[in-house]
Amino acid sequence: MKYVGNFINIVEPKWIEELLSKDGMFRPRDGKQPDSSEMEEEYSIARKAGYDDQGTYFQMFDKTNVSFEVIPPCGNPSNFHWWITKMMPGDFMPMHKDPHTMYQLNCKRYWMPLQDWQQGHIFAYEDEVIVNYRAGDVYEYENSQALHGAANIGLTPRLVLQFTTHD
Amino acid sequence: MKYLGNYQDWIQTSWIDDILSIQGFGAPKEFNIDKEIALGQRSTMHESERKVYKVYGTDKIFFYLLESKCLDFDIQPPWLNERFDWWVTKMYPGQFIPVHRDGPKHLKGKRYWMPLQDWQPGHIFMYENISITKYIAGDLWEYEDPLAIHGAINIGHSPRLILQVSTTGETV
Repeated sequence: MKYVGNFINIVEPKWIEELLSKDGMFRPRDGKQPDSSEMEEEYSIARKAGYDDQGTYFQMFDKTNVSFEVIPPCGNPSNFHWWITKMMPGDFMPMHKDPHTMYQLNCKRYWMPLQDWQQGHIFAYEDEVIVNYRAGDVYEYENSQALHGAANIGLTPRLVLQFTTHD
Repeated sequence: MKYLGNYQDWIQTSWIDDILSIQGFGAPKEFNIDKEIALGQRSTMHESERKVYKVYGTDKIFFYLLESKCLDFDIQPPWLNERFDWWVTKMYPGQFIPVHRDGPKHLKGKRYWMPLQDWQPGHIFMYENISITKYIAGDLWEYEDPLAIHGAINIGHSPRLILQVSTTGETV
């Protein structure tokens, strides 16, 4: 992961309050079904390992279920999409590769925590775990197809903004 | 964590087969913690335990714990000449141990951590702000601080098996 800089100035405190005060979309239970062979392969790998694609492992927010809009602070500002993951203690996202990044031209994938790092808040990128970060730090995936996953084995909710830009 | 060397030759293949074929105790649910405390069979929780169980509860299975009494083998760690306790933690994909500090009983002795398999993506052990990765089976680490905050999760695709050894501070 390549550290890009700190962009806490784009984060409004009321975002955090809103994200903590309501449920997001439950994933993978209420997510879309695989719509590509790559996505089906990711689901298949997870099912074989014992993960339940009808379970709830984390919550997701995007522009359809929050009152605010996010403009990514880096990457291509005219072609992007964003989402926020909320993990309550015990939530996780198994290791996987993002299928959507395969189709997008010059795809850049970014990761931005909305809180300072806390013990038990885990983001794994290949063989690396990102720690000691500050709210608003932005990291870019050096390889948008890298294996990654996340978990919260701490005592407080974990909020991370994810965004992807492309040509 | 202090790396002490590799003891892969000491690990028996039959141990892995045994560990994978026996379920073990589902922790914390099958320890009946609240009931044991109420009956006076267990000392009250120390602060770190209390904080963890307040958030996570004691009624679910987060991982499996296997001790000599439920396994067909016993161990004699070649690096030790002290009295010790040992156990194996088994985590299926999605299982975890929340970050916590061990209880005061570990203060007098040393805590050792040894993976029984080579590292795989998603097999995560956190010790303070350090993550141990790319290890191979039999690598041995010692906790530099027995009261360090630590935890683990398996967000990979295969079971994760770790041997844990704790000395009592008494020589044999």
